Amino acid sequence: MSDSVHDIQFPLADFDREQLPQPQRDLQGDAYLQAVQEHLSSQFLGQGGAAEVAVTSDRVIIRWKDHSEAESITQQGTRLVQQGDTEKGIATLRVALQRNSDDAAALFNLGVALSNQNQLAESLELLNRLVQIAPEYPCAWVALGVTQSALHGPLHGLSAFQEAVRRNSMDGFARKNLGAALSGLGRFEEALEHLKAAVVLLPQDAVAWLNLGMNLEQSGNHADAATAYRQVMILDPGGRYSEKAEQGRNRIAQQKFRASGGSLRQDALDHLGEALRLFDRMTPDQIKRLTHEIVMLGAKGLAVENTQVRYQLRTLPGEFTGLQLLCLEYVGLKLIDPSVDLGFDLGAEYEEACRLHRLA
Amino acid sequence: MPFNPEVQQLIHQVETLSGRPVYVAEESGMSLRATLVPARKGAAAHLVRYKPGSSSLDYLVANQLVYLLRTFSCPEEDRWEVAAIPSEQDAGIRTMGLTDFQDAFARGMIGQIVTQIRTYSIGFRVDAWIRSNLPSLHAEQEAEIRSQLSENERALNPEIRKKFPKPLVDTNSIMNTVFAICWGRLLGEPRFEIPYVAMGYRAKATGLIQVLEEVPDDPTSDRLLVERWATLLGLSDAFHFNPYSLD
Repeated sequence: MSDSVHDIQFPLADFDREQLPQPQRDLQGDAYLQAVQEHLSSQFLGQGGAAEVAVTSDRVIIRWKDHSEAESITQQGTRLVQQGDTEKGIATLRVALQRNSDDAAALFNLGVALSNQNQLAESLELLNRLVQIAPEYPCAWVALGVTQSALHGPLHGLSAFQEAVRRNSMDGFARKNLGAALSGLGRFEEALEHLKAAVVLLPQDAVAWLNLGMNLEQSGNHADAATAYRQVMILDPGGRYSEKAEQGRNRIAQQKFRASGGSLRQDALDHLGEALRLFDRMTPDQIKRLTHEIVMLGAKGLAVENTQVRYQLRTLPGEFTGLQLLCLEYVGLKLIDPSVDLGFDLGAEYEEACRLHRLA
Repeated sequence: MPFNPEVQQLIHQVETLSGRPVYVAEESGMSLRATLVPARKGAAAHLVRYKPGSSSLDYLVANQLVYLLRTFSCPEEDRWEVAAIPSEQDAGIRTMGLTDFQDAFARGMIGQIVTQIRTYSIGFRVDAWIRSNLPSLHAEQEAEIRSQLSENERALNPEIRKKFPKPLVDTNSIMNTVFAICWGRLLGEPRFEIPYVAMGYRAKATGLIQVLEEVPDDPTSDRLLVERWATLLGLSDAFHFNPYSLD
């Protein structure tokens, strides 16, 4: 088969409306043109090439290009979904299933795509059929468990995840999801084995590390949890998983912070008071610049409990401990936008520092 | 010009069966790729003419020769050719909606559409025979078929279709649909039929394909094949069969 392009044109007036699905046969105007375009585009799917179909007011224009390496209709649909053209990808996978209702790859990819689109009932139906006709299809049980969990809660996905692990204990996704489901059910110890295995099998998977971190945090193993969270922040810098990891690290730091200083930490109270006095002498722009620099510096975490670690800033001379910077950041953010949540609760100390500052 | 050995063998077969030599000649300016003038009325030879420049010369010549081979495979009394008297042409002109056209043009069009009925219907037998018996011509055959498919697709262009009356355009398109469906399946590329199906030609084309399947693939049945296609296309009154004889 050669790579070649050629055009076919025929009058729109000669298009047979009977070819369209019943509800579209009486369409007029742009809606009709679109229906013809979509119908013809779907007809060319899986034909070993690419067809661009354009419908104008008087004609249908089809530009056909052969592919040297033909891509199946299922592969086309999967590729479209992976490229983010979800709607078209889903439509293409539906056509693949119309042509072969036992196409395991189409069942899997359409099931997953629909699940991601929150069309869970249809996804569940497809994935249930998949595990019936192709129980060994890679990740089939995991996908089923994910959809079951999303639809009915973690308990409902558990048996599918267990089946996935039973069939292949080296399946990192199976271990990751089973661990997460068990954690979600409060079975932390049982989950830990799977979550540890998941990060070994999927060392670059930020979610696997996040799940492990959360499990360890909830089990009280804060040191290992902080390590896992740090790994998430390395793998997913600036991403949503990183944000969750950072929240976890802050929770751990705060617990440690509170545990070592009672209900009101004097050192934090002192640093907050210093910050209030410093900001009194600064313009709003200077406050913003300084706060922004600390926010950026703190994105990777500040050693709040280690006074040996010292930091330097470009916008303020001197050396600072992690707690000093945290207090500067806290006050700065309160002055710039009180609604911002720093993720580290110094509210009691801040309130007291403000009271003392007003008295002074 | 040296032909492929299989084509040379075919020429020899036709010459032996018909008792007349086969001359193959180049003719520039032809609109068709190749034509055949069978020896008749005492003519000394069969003449195959082809348009110069084709890279599929062996196939084009073989294709014309296999039509002859089928004719001469039949007993003398079963050999025929298509002819039309003016009243038959008139019937065809009415059926095809050509009454408002210049007389000579309209008669020319009727001649062409009747020829298409014969060459397309028997053409499927001819090409099937070539596929089975002349393997060295497969590549050339496929290239020519693809070229014909493209040419047929060009005939769908609105600017071309509006030049002719709808009954004539539809009759031509139905036969092209059969060509697209049958060859699309053989080539494993069913996409060729999509535009024709979109235009609603599938049902009538399916009728013609059914005839191809029902009528035996035997040269003595070729006449029946042409008759049944012509009936389905509404053109059975536009021509008749004359006995074919060399003398």
